[in-house]
Amino acid sequence: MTARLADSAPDPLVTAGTTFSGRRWWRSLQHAQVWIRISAWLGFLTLGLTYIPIIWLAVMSFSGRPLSGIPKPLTLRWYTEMTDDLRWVEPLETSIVLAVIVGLFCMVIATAVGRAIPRLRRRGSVLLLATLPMFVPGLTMGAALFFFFRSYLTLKLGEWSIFFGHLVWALPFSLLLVLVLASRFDHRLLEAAADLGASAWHRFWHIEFPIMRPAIVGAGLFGFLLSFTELPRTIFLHGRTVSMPLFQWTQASAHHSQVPLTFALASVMFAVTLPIMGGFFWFLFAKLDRS
Amino acid sequence: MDGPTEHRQSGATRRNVLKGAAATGAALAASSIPGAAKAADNVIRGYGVNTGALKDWGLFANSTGLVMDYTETNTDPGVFIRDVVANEIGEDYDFFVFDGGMEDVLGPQGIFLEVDQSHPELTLWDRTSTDFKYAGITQDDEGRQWGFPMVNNADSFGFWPEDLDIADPLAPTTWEFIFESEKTRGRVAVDKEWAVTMVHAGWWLNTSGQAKIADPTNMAGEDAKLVADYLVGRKKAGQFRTFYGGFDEQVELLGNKEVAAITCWEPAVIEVNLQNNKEVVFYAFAEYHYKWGHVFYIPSQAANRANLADIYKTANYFLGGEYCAYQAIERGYVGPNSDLAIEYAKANDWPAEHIEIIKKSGSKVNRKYAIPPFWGDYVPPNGDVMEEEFQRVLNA
Amino acid sequence: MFAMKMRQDSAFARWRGAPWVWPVTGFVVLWSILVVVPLVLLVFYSFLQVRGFKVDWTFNLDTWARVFESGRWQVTTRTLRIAVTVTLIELLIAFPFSLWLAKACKSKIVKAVVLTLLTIPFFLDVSSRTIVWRPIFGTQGPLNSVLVDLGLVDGPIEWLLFSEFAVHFGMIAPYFPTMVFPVFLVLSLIDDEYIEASRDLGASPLQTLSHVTIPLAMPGIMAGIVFTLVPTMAEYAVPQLMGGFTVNLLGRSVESALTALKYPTAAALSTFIIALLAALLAALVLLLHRRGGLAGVFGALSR
Repeated sequence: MTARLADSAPDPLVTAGTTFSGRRWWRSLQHAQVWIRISAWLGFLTLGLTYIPIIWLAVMSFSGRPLSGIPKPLTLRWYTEMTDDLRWVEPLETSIVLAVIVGLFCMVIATAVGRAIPRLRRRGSVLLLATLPMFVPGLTMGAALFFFFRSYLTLKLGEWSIFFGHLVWALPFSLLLVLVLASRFDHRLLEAAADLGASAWHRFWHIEFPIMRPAIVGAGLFGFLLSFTELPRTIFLHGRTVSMPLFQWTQASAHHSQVPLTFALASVMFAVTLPIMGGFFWFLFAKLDRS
Repeated sequence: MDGPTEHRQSGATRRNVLKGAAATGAALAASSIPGAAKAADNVIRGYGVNTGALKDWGLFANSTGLVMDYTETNTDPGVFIRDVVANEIGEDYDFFVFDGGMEDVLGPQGIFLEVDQSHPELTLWDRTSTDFKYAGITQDDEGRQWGFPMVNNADSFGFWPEDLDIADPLAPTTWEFIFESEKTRGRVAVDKEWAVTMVHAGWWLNTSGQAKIADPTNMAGEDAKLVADYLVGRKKAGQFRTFYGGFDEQVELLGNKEVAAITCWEPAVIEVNLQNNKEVVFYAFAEYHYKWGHVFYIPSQAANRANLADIYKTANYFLGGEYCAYQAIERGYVGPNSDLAIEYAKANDWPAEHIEIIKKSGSKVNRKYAIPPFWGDYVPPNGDVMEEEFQRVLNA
Repeated sequence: MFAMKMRQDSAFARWRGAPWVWPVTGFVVLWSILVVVPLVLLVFYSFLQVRGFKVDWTFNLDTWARVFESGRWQVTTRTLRIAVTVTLIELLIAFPFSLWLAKACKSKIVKAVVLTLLTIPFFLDVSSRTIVWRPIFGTQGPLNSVLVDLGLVDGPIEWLLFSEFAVHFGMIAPYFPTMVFPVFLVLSLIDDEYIEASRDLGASPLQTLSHVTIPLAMPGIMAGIVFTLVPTMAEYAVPQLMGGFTVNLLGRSVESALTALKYPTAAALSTFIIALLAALLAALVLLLHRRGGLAGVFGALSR
């Protein structure tokens, strides 16, 4: 059923019902094919722009002069420094745990709200309210929340305040992702199921969820990633907890090199996340294949 | 140790209460916890800038019998003030380490504890020279002692001698290479912080006779505008390649010869030479230097703590030879008693070149301090004006 | 027939009510507390002043006046301009790529691989990924050496680094995934039957694209634009590393104000940019009015 834009074009000379002459159709298709090739390669080039630095990072992490252009001399100095000074472990753990929690909350809230919005009458205003925090620069949002929590509510800041800061940042993204899918969702499927006697939960789990799954998973993933790398709001709201981006930011003003963190640790993290994320997406697509 | 006399170039205005700035609405008074006796364990908790930390706190444990729990922060005064005043972390920490100048703002407010100079644990206090003890960065305008000196240095700039056509890199040179020289046009980098670059420019204008700035570390409206205009002019003329952000950037810019001269920290020069395995870049000795120092402060909440004696013991350790020696080797910085550092190194059979480095640091510092320097200040009263004017420079 | 329709209607009416609305009301309440109240505080704060680290509580317009007089407001327009440019470039690259990935690429493996490759960089600090371009683009770097050796230029090109070009270049790679994800999602939802039908009716590929594909993909495109434009405006690390502060952007200006504890200035700048973005959004909404308004784009486009 899936038609392909590029191939399986009907034999131009035999095309039925078309108002174009065979030759013109062939020529326009050829154009399309060229464009398709260009699009793909342009995208891969941009992807390459992301990966050149990462590969370079990994290569230079073994170099004695990582910030120059040359990979020599080879040394393990940065890796030993990274393992000698293990202060980065705790912030990393904190970041991961926090990101997982934020991701889960984003996934649930975005789904609950996202599937409801298309059925509301006041869709526009809720949408506007939800996306409002996206337009506030991170430092400012952090400062505003800091004053609110600390000065007016006189609460002691900690993991909970970072959590809310990250939630405010990531939820609009997750919500928009779910909305993209929810706006295409055919409600008559649910009506039909209701008529057939399915309960509300049943309707959700067996009809809505499978269709919305890419968006729901995407929402959770976005929530996780946005929280994991978030810095400006964390600067204001962290209390005594330290997240990984915050740790790297405080270290940036140190009078000694951060190369062990920025080169060696980054390379290690890359090597670790590659198989994990690869497995994750493979699993996702394999499951989708079956259903 | 006799050092030259220097005078604090400070603004005469009284520092204002800063409580209101950090905590809006409900004013948060920094409260001292009456009678709260902390569980007397041997852990001592510190919060301060990364430069104050030793790479290996085990040395500290061996010397004092205390275990150090040091939380690092960066040099952003806004972050520090917010944490100390609004977040009241003085309840959780035993000491703070930050750039000098902070005591003028936070001392009179009651955030810090006025230190007891005759405390029995301060065995090294009397032998510390007055130039360090009573420097402007440890005392406020009324002479109250708020802190103990730790590391300090006199910053200038790093450079490639051959690019500047300098035959003898150790001879006195000039800040002209940073601001005006044709040889370095477009090949100079300066700090992105207004508290550093504006001050450097102000002192250069004074030294070169182009203007008369009353106090470059704390410039009021007219002076700030003048300096900013000068910097805008230099920027438009293409003098500056970039405004750098951090240590690795300094190493990269200098090491890759992207710039010929850069107003950096001394460890950056050391790192570049280390990576090249020989001395290729040098740290300048010029008309003036930006003197800065870290200071050990005690929060007022610690007044009645059970481990107050331990806190003073820690302060005493930072005045001593071991700390000073390690700072000299690792960063080229100097502590209040560098002769003790040499003694320590000799007593512990350090290799000769390390002892040389410590000696050189000490003598270098003496040379630099002989010139009337100024103490840098990250929180001057006219900070808001200086910051505003510097934004014009960045926008140009 | 009629009886069945009536039953359908009442069934529809039955579940139209309660369960859906609760999450939304709960969300609105939560959001008002977490977002609206602090932002109102923020705008209020911009009308105060700071003198020598102390807050002056008189309600006045001095901070705003200074922001405009000193030319500080220019950072917001400059930031907006750069952000919009980067977003447009991303859209131009990401849309065809997503189209290819969703429609022309048949292999599930390739899709999984590409999506993985797009996600992983998020785990790495953006400054780690950006700092490596500096030695490459520097005046002593390999790129300049090659150009000089080939005789294409007389001396090393300075504007490769620490210029607006460098800032644009540095921002393209990090924000590519944020544009691809929503667009890819929505494009993979488009039933191929529409495209076949359009082709059968005689439309050229270009016409199919502009009259069928793009309108159906609008929600994803809008989401992608928002996902990319908004964080780009707040971006701080890349402009610093690639632009060296010769290009002063909003992030730096706000941070600089905060180091001097000038919260009112930071608040004023932020309020200004929110106002600018609101104006941009309003213009966009008016443009979309023909197509049924903003809500309409996300509304029942299900068919």
